[in-house]
Amino acid sequence: MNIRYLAGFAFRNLTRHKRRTVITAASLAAGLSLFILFDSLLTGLENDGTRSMIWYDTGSLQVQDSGYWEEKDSLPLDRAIADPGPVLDFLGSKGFKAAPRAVFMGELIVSGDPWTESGSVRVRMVALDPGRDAAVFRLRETLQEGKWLSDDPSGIVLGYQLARDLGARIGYPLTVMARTRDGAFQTMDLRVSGIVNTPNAAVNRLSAFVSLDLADEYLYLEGSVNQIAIAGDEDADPEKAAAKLEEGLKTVAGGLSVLPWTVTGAEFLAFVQSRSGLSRVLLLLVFIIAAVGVSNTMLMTILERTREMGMLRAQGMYDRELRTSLMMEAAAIGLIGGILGLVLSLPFNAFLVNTGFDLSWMIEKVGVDLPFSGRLRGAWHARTMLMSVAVGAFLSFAVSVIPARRAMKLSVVEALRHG
Amino acid sequence: MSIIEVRGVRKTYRSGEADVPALRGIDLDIGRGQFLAVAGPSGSGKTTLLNLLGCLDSLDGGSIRIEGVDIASMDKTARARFRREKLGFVFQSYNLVPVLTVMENVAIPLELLGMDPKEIHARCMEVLEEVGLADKAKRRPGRLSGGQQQRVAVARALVKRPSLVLADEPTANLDSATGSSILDLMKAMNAKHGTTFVFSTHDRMVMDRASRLVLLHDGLVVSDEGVRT
Amino acid sequence: MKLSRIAWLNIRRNRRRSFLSALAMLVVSAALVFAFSLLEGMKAEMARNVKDWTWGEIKIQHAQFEKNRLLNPLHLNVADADALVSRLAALPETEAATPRTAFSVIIQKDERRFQAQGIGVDLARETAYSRLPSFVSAGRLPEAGTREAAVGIGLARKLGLGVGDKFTFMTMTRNRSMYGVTLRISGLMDFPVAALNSLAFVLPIDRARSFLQLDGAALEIVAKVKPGLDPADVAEAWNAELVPLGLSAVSWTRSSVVYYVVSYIGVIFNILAAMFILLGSTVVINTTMMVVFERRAEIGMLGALGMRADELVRLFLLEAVFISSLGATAGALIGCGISAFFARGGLDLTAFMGGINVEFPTLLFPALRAGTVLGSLAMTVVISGLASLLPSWSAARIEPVDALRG
Repeated sequence: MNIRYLAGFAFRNLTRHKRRTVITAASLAAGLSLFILFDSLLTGLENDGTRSMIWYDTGSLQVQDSGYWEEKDSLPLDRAIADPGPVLDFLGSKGFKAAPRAVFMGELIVSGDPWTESGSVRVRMVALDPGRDAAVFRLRETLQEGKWLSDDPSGIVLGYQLARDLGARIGYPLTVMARTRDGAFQTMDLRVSGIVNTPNAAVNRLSAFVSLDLADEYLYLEGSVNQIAIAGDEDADPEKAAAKLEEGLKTVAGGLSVLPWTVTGAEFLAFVQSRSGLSRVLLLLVFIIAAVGVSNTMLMTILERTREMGMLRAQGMYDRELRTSLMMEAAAIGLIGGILGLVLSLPFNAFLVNTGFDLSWMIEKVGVDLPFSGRLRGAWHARTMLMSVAVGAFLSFAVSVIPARRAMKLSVVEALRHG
Repeated sequence: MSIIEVRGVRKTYRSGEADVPALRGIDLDIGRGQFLAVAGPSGSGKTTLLNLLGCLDSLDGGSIRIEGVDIASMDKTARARFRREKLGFVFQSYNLVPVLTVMENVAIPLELLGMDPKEIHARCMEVLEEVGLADKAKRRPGRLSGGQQQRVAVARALVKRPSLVLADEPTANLDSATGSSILDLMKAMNAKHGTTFVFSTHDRMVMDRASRLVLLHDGLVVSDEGVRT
Repeated sequence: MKLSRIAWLNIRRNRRRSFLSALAMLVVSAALVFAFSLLEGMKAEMARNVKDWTWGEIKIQHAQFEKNRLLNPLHLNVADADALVSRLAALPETEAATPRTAFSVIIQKDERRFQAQGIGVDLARETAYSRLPSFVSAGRLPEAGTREAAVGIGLARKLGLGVGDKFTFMTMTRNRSMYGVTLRISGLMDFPVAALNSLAFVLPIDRARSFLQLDGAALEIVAKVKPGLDPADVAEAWNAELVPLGLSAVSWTRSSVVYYVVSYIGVIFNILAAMFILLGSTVVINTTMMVVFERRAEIGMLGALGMRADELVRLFLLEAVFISSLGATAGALIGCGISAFFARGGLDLTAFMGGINVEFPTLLFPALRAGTVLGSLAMTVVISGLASLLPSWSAARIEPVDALRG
């Protein structure tokens, strides 16, 4: 008996118990819909966060001295690229947009008038070249108050959250205490020249920016930097690009590594990965419920049609043909449930993608140090959406194997006697 | 010429702790084109015999040969194939598929044989004509009377021109007038196509119309009257 | 015969079907009981961590300190801390009280610098407050008056140091000068709060005071109230005397972020649970529908004999409720079993929790609470019962005559 006939037969059988089919499919749909929506949020989180990270903190690739990364927690100035010039020229010649930066640990000290309180706080100081930085990072566009370093290279620009916590305003004086490249203490008396409000909560809370020339003067960098950030093509494979560039740089200078954002942003990525674990748990729960629902429906169906199935087998239908027909029926329910789930998720997903949730209150209160913007948004993830339809069909198909098999265990004679 | 040879057939059922012997040694020869009724009180084994002849169950002893083929030598799938190709069934409770039309119900045996759709259509219409239900081809069984449904069942049993049709109490759910007309139909088909019919029944009317009557009692043949060839 | 008895007998007519139906509720119920007990465990652990470590049950600080906390304002301190602590500890409502002073440092090791946090504690009182000695994983706590410290195991690993080694750090004093201190590691600490493990070290408060230039003062006093008392009320009562002194007492229930987030999560949890129950109830709905359909002749007969519509509805509703209750109860028991199983070794959720917040525990111990289990069970039975109303109502719509006609 050919597959098409069996499929037609299976489909026709679905119409026998419309309500039951609809209820089962609906419950599958609800579960799959939830899964799609959760995945949408996760994907949105990952996309937004990755972008925030690349645009405001790490860049796509980073050239560093090969000894820098393992010491990165100390933000060492001595593991530096001593002569960034040739490297920058090389990068420019290959069409890369690059920005040199010196990142160091600083103690920001405030006291006296006009500050309401005195004290000090540790910040991540980023010394950048305002001219070249704009090619890689978008900090300037997020300037909320005051002037960017390109217009006032002698000042210090604070992250929004940091400024708020300090009570800082444009023009306030403060002192940054840091260590020079050789390890000696140094203080820099600066004025707050600007405040940036980026979609990256970590940058807003922990960072302050000064110009590279200023840092070089105070900290005796002698032209060295410890990072050269590179803007990249968002779609390209960052790891391959990094490896390729690292090879190429060997011709220019020794002892340099190129790290992709997947490494420099590893902490954030790990966070997102962990959330997808939660998504998998959700899927598992949906599976269990759907499995119970579909197999229950199948068993009821089989119970009702025992005599009819006996008749078909008496007519000479093979057991496996009948089993296949039953399983196709289950798969059809699953397919309907999957499609319904997809359709059901669309309006909610649209809401998530376009509006989402405002969690900025949580960012501020909880003190998040990850590149979040405070707006949790969804993202259209075609792969998950299509996969959930397939999952619905496949799961139902799989779950019906045992009931279908058991149905055939009854002998034809007994089946005919049934009911 | 016998198309069915039954030799020393035994069948025992387990009922709880006890063994219930349903057939205790049946010998029978059925010729092609016979219109035979197997009758007896309940528990005599007639349904069991019919099930065995229909290759729906397995023997505990003895042998059955249908058109020379030893049934016991076939496995489950082979038996299904045999039923598919050679046997037709009519049940007491019609057993039509409610979601399929009359035509589609009748077509089931032909679909199982993988026949060409055009040919299936032609054959079904032909046999529906014979049973007088050609105008109801597109109806669903639920809209038909009991007698009409049984006619559909008969059509289904005959559509593949089987060697043998087995009918288990086909008139039991029908009133006497309708039952009588069904029987007439089957007799007509038997005459026209030479199909062998074997009934199991306890309906007097059926027994009277049969050309051969085999009486069973306690799993054995006690009388065998009528035309034997 | 009572309707309930009839309902019970009816369920047993088709055991397999009833079982399958109950199975769905069993799965749902077991999953929910387990999930809720995980949540309870999480709440209990978070509460404990907040009360013991990250905030205190009641925290007493300089009134301006919290606002300016980012600046590590050592001058906004609690003066004469020891005297105040003695007084508070003597009060009838106090279970324990102890002073603490936390300060941020930069540890210098070889050429590398590490951020860390030192916590000056009153070793005697701390034992009563947080059972500090029980978290020592190697060596011992520092002795009062010595230049010793007990370091979090994560921090020690980062520094590559062990018991007996020395470490040096710089910190800013009250007078805003940088001061260097060298301490010897007397032991390693395995705190229940992950962030402390990787960032903190503990030393006697007197030593901390001396180099921070904080004579007699502490940055905070943490206190626990006797069981049964509401810390917010106690804090209010204390504030009557503390506010004029420029201090303020705040209960954890009024300040901790954890508290808010947990109630937020609790609400979401309950909504998700309700949805989950509905999903599982679709099975019971299907079964009830099938049962009503199959027995329509019987229903018609009962109606013809005089059974009222509402009695019919009640009959089928009872059947459905019995099935789901049985399933849910069995599931609840299984859920309790699973929770009890994990309650021993804990459930490691590091993979799910990393990265967001200091105060969320990663090793969860499910906490079985009678209230939660019963609540979850009740929610399951009620929601599935309501869901079964729909198919049960269809029983009442069957006209006796139609049903008998078959």
